[in-house]
Amino acid sequence: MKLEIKGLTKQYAKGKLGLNDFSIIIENGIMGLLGPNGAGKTTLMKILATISKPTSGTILLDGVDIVNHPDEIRKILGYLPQDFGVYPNLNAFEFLEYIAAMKGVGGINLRPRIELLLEGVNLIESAKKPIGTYSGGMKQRIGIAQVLLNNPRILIFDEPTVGLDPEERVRFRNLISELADECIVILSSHIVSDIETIANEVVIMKSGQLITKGFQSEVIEQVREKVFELEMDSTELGVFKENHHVISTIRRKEKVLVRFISDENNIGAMPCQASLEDAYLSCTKSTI
Amino acid sequence: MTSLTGIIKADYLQRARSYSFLITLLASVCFAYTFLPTAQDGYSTVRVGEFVGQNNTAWVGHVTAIMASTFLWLIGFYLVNNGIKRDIETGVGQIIATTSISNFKYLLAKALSNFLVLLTIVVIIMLMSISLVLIRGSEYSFNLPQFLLPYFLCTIPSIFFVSALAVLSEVIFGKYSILQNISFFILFCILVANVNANVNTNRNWLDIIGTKELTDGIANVVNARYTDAIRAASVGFDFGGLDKKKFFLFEGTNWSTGYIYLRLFWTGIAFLLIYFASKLFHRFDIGERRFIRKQKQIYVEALRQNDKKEIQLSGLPLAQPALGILPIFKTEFLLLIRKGPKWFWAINAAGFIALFFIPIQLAHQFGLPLLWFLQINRWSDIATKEKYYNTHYFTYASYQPLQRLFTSQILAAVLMAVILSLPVLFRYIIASDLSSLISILCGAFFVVGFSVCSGVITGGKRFFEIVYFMLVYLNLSSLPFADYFGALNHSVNYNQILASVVTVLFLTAYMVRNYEVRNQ
Repeated sequence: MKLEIKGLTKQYAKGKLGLNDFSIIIENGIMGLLGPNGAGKTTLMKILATISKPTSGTILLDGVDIVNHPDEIRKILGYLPQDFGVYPNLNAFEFLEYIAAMKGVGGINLRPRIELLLEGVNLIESAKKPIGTYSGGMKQRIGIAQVLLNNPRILIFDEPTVGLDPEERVRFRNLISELADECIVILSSHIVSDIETIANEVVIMKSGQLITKGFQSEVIEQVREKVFELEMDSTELGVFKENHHVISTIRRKEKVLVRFISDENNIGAMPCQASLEDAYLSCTKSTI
Repeated sequence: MTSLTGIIKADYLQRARSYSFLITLLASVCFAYTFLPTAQDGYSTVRVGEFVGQNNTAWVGHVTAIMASTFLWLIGFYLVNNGIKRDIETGVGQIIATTSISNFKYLLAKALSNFLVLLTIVVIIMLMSISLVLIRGSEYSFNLPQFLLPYFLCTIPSIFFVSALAVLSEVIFGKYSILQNISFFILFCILVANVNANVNTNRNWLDIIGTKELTDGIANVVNARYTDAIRAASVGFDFGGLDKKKFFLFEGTNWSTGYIYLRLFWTGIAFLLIYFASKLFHRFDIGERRFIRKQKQIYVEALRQNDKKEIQLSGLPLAQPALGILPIFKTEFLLLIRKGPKWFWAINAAGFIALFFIPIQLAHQFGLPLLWFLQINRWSDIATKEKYYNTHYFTYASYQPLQRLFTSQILAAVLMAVILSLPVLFRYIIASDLSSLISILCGAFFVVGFSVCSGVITGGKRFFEIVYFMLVYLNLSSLPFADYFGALNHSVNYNQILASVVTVLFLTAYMVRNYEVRNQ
């Protein structure tokens, strides 16, 4: 399965660009999307999920244009939006039946499938209670369950781990890894460690544009031997920040341990092993 | 003071910048245009028997101010009674609760913001009336006091009162908006009945809307000059008995200090309502109900603590394609049934049974529209609830959302409207009155069609609610042009007109939703 995105642009009112000439090819596996707020991740995902239409550009799914034929992807799509809602008067079972009907799936297998999904997300005991009484994490798990109602081949997850406790996050990662064998999984998260743990490929976006794309090792390679740590007095930190790209700081009594990126090390700092987070922050030029 | 003006300004701008507000404003302008019929128009808005005033500034000022007061009492309440609710929904309320603003100050700000919204409409009606004086006036000398004073003494205090009442109503009834809507509608009908009661009654002090003094003044002029019997002025669109319209010269009202004190009295009462509301206000601490739910929630969570599972993809039975709309239709119908408090179905059941036993004409003309009207909360968001509940990400990404989901939503709502009208339909079947039966079915389609059409165009439910309330009021006033369910007009031609209107509504709704689905 192959998803080709060519020259995708989304222009909002007042000329603001959500996506700017974005091109990429996605194949089976897990693609992690990283980018600061407003980078265009959600815009891209909404367009792929056929909720939003691009201003220009094409998206081909195995050669079929899904901008003009959205139902082609909808049949095999599993989408978990960032800020989805539920009907509070329905219980989990009814809600999943409803979503399944909208996705165009049913038959005798539907009921056992929903039961297994609810069991899998540990909601089977509360499945007959109105969703309005659920906690944020429980609603998020309903969202994850609905993604899998229709044997999806393309899965889009926008900030899927929000509201999940650490144990549930691990279970979710395992699920995604299992899915990736035969599907395209696109995953966006602000939590770089989530992406780092499970994504094969990483895409970094900023201001609606593609900054870099590659396997994790390739992306990290960009900052290899450029990440350092240095301990200094907290009073020196302000001046240091003005001259260096600081990634993080950790307080240690009167001292501060500063992690930074630099092309050269002429101040006696300790070289460190680069991580995906270092690469991401370097690409997006964020400073603390 | 700064915080008060800050809240008022932000709240006002938030509303005024909404699409539905602009549409309501536009509708108000169109409606205001009808307040002052020409000599050739076959209806009147304010009249005494067959007498209507000549179009001088005093008459235009009085008529438009009376109609604006009445009109804005009816729709104004529904336009502004969601200020606190919006703060709850957006989460802004939680932030406000942590600030130092007092309950009274906050609710006063809400009431004043409501007032500004309604005042905007009044100003537009006033400007429209001035243009009408220039266009239609029989004399061009402008008697400014007699044009403006009805607005200042009648309309403006009236909309201030309704603004405060909306705040109190929101505080008292909270999430039960259906109770807010119905109780206000009953209050409005009582007040309007008082206005249309006999002239110079001793119940004028009860006139919160403020129009009784004006209508009595108008009636007194007619009665003094032409009387053979004492007649009261009537307010509202009236299409009957105007074959021989007679005109009289109205030069204005002699404003009594008693009336001015009365208006000040009701304005003071409005402040008291806000004060009273501030004592009952939850200040966004609505956790009591949630506490009970929380307990259940913890219980449910506790049960599964020891036995956590994972989704086993290989064990999932294969999902099979099923493109029928029946399951969607079933859930949509379920959503309609479950909307609102359960006990409300007892009222619906009583109304349903009553439709079997009251005279059929009454059942058709008054009973049925009232029973449908009680379901306003169910009709109002048929096509907009996805946006409200944020489920549109699922629905718009689903397979053929227009053909399957939208159609199911419409059919479910029509089925509910038809079920509610079954007693009347059944009686017409027995009476072999096919024409009336069809007109009721047209009415069921109309309510749903109008809801989905206005919903997809405005993106919200408020416009529908306001117009629907107005429509119900006009139905109860037996106005033929508001007869969307054939209670007053029994003919095949009329049914054809109804069917055409319904078709246009649905076609528009489908086209707009289609555009929406394709061009988010």
